[in-house]
Amino acid sequence: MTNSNMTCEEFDAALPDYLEGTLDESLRAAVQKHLSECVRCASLARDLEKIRKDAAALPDMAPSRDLWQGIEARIAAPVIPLAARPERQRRFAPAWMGVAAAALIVSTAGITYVLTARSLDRSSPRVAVVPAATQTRGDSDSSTAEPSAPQTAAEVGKGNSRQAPAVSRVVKAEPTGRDAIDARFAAQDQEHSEYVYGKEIEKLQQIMATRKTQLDSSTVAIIERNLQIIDAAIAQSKAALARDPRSRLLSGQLTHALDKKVELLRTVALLPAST
Amino acid sequence: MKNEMKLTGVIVAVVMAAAPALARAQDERSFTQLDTTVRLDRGGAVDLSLISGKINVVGWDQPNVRISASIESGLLRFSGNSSRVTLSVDDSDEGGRRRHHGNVGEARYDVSVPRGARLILEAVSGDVTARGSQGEIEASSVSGDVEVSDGARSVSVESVSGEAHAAQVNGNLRAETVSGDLRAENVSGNVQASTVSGDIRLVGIQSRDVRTETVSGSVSYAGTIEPSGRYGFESHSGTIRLNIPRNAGANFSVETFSGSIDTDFPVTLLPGQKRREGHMDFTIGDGRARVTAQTFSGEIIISNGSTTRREDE
Repeated sequence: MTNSNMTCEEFDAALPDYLEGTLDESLRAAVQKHLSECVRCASLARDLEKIRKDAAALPDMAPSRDLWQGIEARIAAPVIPLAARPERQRRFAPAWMGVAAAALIVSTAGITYVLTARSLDRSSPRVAVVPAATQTRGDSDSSTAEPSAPQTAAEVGKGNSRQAPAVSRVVKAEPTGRDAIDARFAAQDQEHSEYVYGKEIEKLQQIMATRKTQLDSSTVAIIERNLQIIDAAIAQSKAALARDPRSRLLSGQLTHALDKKVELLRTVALLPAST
Repeated sequence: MKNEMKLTGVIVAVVMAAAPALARAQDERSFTQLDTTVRLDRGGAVDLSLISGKINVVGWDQPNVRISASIESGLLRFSGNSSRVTLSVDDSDEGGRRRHHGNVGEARYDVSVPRGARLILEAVSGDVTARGSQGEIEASSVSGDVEVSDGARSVSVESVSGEAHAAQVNGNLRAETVSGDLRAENVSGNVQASTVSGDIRLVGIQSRDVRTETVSGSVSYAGTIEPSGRYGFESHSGTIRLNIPRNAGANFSVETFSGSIDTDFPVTLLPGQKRREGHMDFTIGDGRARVTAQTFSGEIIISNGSTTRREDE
């Protein structure tokens, strides 16, 4: 596994640059010499090259939104709604499943990062000014937890292809002072988040639908049961949030539940067949 | 071009992680039964996987990996050198096609490994146990139970529907299930535990960073609160129960939407603070650590270690 000039570890370290074509001449020559002598590394390089070619043939995965739209929304007073993006047709041949799932996870990880950053930002003291009259968010009336939101979690979970919400639909409260602005931002954030999660969940559910037939029925039953548990949590959080849109607790609970759903669907995408 | 380079970078990263599997040695051999011993370099990896059956690993004071393995039907694939030993189930038929996993028989691996070896243990519907290895451990099963002890540096235990249990971990622990319960005992390192409907039970934890999340399961924590540590507990509908040492120094932020909060610690409102239903902020000791607990409808119970509650027994 080792030749006199370059070890397999050194080869591993140089491989990304080698594939990018950014190695200097001497290092490139050393890599090529190592490749001609080491079965392990030659095999690895071949596999990589094949995966690169295969991945290049995958359909493009456009993110549901980019950061700029969020920034723009905060700079300009009237928030520009997201444009709906047509869903591309995607076919998963069995041989592509692993690569496709990996690609999807890479894509969704970035989006989740964006949302997480956004949610952290929401927890900054932007809503520090809270009038006494509204300090009742520890509402212990459990009846408020009944799902009564206009859009249920199941709708989000099933990835309905609704368009991104326009802000005009959100801002119905009397626009008086800082509170109204805070409430508007909170509602905007929430709708954006739900939209992005909805799109990602939709994509992951497409993979899950394909994978169902490859998985053991008892595993599928457990996964579906747990998805229902998460959906119920989403519905409860949304219903409560509809009553108190500025609640960081409720917003956090909803985000956690949506995260859990994405996480579980990702897990399903990567489960070995017939489990 | 930039995107292409990024894509290549990602692929390289993914494949480098899987490099050992991709670059299976050409001297890989197949067996129905295997009894062998391979010398393993210090810090070498032992990679064991099966579909159904049981993986049982113990650490011992020899520099060798000793494998005793068998499979009821199908073949075992084995390859080994001084840096890596790999044993898996061959799930392809004579024509090279992938068999349905239902057609692969139960396998049993009993493996002794040098202390400090890195373990990668994976089962589909089988159980995984490892003890005494004193090295890094990644153990997972889809529907089986995972039980590891005596791991070091970094330990991860995962199962979808089985239980996951880690004990005596001298390093960071990551534990994850979907519906199975999680238990961690005597961990000194960061702890991340996550389930959907399983319960999380952490006992004897010495950590500066603990994060737990579940949707409908309950969470219980008994461990130290380190100065400047961060402890986060989240559940939607499950109960969160924290057993905090009486002499700990921490700032608590505890919040529930429709559940209840109960604490043994005296809650003193600072000037300007107002009591809010479902929300409690309070400080004990020097307040250097930060503890947060949040539920939607679950109960939050914080005891100070001096009382024994019926639920803790």
